[in-house]
Amino acid sequence: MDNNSCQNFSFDSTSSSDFGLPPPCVTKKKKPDKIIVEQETSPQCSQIITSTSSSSTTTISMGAFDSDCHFNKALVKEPPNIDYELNVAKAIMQQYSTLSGDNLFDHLSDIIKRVIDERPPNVIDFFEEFSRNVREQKFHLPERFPPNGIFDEVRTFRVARQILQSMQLPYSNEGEDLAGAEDLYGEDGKAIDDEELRIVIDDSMRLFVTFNERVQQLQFYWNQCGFSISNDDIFQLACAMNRLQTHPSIMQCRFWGCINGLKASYYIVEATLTREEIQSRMAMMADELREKQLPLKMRHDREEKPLPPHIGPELTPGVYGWENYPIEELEIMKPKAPDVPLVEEIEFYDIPPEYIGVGCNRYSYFVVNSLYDDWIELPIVTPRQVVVSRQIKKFLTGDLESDVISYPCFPGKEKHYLRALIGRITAGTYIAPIGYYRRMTKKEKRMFEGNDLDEGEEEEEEEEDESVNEGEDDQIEDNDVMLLKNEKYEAEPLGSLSTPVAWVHVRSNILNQGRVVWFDEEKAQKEREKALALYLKMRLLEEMEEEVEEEEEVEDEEEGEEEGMIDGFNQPETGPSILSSCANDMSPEVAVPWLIRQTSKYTNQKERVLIMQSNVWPGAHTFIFEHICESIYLGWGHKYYARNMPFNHLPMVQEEYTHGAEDFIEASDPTVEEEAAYREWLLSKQKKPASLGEAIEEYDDEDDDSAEHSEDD
Amino acid sequence: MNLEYFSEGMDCLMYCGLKLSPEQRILIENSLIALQNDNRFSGMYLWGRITATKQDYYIAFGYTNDCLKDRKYFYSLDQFQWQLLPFVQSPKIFQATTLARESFVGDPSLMTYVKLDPTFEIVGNHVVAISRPEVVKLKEEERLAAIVFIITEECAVCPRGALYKMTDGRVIPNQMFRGLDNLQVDNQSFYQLYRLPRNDLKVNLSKRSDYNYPIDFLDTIDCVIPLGQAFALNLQRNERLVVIKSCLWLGMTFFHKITSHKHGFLYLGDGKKNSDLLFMY
Repeated sequence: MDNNSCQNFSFDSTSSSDFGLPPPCVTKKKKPDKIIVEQETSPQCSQIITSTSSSSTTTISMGAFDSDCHFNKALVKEPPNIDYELNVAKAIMQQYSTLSGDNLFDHLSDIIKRVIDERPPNVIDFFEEFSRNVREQKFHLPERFPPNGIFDEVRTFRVARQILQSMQLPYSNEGEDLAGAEDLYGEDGKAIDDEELRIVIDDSMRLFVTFNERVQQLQFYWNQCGFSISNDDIFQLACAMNRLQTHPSIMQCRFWGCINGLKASYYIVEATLTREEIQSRMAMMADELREKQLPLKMRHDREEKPLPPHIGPELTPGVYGWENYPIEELEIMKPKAPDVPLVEEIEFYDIPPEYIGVGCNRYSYFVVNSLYDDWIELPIVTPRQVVVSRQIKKFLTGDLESDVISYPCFPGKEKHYLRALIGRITAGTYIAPIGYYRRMTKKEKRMFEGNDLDEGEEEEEEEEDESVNEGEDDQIEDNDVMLLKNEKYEAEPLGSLSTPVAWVHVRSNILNQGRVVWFDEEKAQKEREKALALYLKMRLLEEMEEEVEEEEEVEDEEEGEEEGMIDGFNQPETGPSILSSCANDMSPEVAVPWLIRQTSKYTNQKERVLIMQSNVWPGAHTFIFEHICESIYLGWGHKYYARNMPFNHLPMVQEEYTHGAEDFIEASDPTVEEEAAYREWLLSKQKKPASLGEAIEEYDDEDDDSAEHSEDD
Repeated sequence: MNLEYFSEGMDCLMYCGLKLSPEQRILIENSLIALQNDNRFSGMYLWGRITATKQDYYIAFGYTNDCLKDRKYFYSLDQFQWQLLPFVQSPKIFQATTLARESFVGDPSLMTYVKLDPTFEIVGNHVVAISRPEVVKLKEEERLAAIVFIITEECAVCPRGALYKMTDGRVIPNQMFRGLDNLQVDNQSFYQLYRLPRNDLKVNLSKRSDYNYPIDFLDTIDCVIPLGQAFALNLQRNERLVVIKSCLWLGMTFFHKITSHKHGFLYLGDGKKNSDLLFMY
């Protein structure tokens, strides 16, 4: 019997597998069968039949099994039978889970199907994981969740739309015909023409372009050197820079680099503004600065605040028992208390920032988090921001408006911090081989500033300049200059360049003061004091009754008048000049300030690129290949420290508010008589309310009594 | 980073700003394939580069059976000859490595002397005695091995589900791993540290409701102290690529392409820990 059943079993299984792979037409035929079986509702098969509503992949085999059972049922009757047991086993496996609504049979057949279809390697090792994957994917079958019902917006859609918008494609809407589209193209063409025109006008300034503005070309070198932004982004960057470039107030822009932030990184572009833009901004800035640098008392926006009537809960005029005086007298009386302490405005003086177009603010910087956004211009940098940013080390967040929480307190938001960082990095890490850049000659300088030159003459003079000034030595010894590319620079072999001695700094050094041009604080202070004295005198004449005593520290701003009267007192602070050698870069933290690398060590000798990496600002690179020398920064914006940054400690609590001897006045304790007088006064004060109070108490008592009565009731 | 998708991974890791130059890439990729072949490794990874003043160290590792326990590290100065990194056990060496101020030079046999921090003996909140700072002799090769170990332990990242613990306890890359999906990418709890777990298994499992024994045995990066500040997670390239940078070891970058099994980490830096991290947020 056993043997027989086994044979039967094997036979049945093969037959069922035969049924398992029927042509689709067969299944169609089978369907009526199923329906019939359902109508029969035989107790044995009911469980099996109800499971036919599972996923489409299993219905075929299910159908086969069902038909199988149908046929078998006709053949055999006795319960101890392998077919019956098979059916029972299948029924067990097909039991629906009350939680998920799945059954094991479907699941196993899904798994087997997946294994056969996909043939994953070593599937037995990951069987649990595989099975879980299969189930997970089954849960997300689109049949169960109709696409119209719930469609989650794809994550990438938002970004894709923004990118498309930023490219300003000439969309032709459905209403518009082709002519409209052509018009659009025509406009584009015009725009390009305009751009060309503009460039022609600015051709005089073309001379002063000292950098390569073509990012994609540079990207090639960056790729060779082993640092760059992503290849996908570079085209977008080129587009974005093009958008910026076409802005009328921008003359030139170049890619400065990238600073990582925690949530997003900044792409930074260094731009030179047009002369007109600088002038208009200068005018605005000069007014603002002058106002700011005026002594506090002289500022116009300063309004007199009314004195507070009193401080604290109440001030008693006169002596104890003042209530006895009539009101008229009380009004004349002065309180015996000390004067109301007023908030004194302390003049907080700052070294004035440099004007746009000179010193630290020679270039403006534009940043963007993602290349399809609009460029945001960073504010100008003030010396104080530079100084404080040297004492702190923060992560940039990627949000320009976020606060910089630090000690010492950074004066500004993250955008100011970023701007200060950019200034410092630029000043520290922009280098070029000796002779690559040259200073401007006087004529060029004049032309650069746009003074007294007619458009027509300009070009001629340029040529003259170039011919005349070749051997001239009348270069201005000034740190705050823009350098020009030396046309006569000859590419040197990389061997001779691969030492810091052969390189010079090409951006002006920022002094400890936070400026490029030293600002004489003491002189400025004296001048401010003088101005203040004059101003006060004037006011004194105007309003005789006003009393003034002012010893506040006040500053006035006097830019550019370095060669003033009394220079002898303080030496101007000096730093390394603009074309000083990189070999002198020394700091206690960094033993080797520059790393020298070549793109290829063993092969391709002809096309090697030399890279100078800054150790002081990790992430700053400069490469040179024949006549192309460019610097870029890609990093976190942190200066190198051998171990950790020597942060300033918070001051002791007592030091935060310094106080002199007069701040604490010792007073003797009241005498016995005074205490007695006080007590007497207190008593007299309490007398009147006392009688009233008694009445109230009585009333309360009565109330209580009545309440008690009611409770008794 | 896995050698199987070397250049693709390199492109994805470019969001740290650094990568390899073409010559380095070719040399390293091919010499690592050779190295894998010689050592019969089942997986070969480029670990990164440690900048040194003269020559940079390139680090790679491979494994045969267990991708966490029997990793073998190699270093190379010329990018094609790989030497086995020594295995460092002495805690003194680790201590000296973390305290060393000088940058790497590029000479494995160089000996430096590192002054350890003085130790304080404290009884009842009062310093009783201060020992003289000990001076440890440190070979650069050992220092390199120690720093590689420390960095890997502290900030090597893999997505959840990328590693699979077999029933015999071995850990291997999960062949079934199909990547994190849209909803999971920007959640730091879906990223794990590529190291032997330090937390208790129960602790790691109980962090999530849908825990899975062979997957969730690793520590997740959202529990790294300082909480929430140790890693910076960004989405790049149409938000299809997740990039995680370690704030503790600047230069450690991890990428994962969503809904794909591709992921990897690479360290390109100078081997300096960012000790100022707590002041920088």
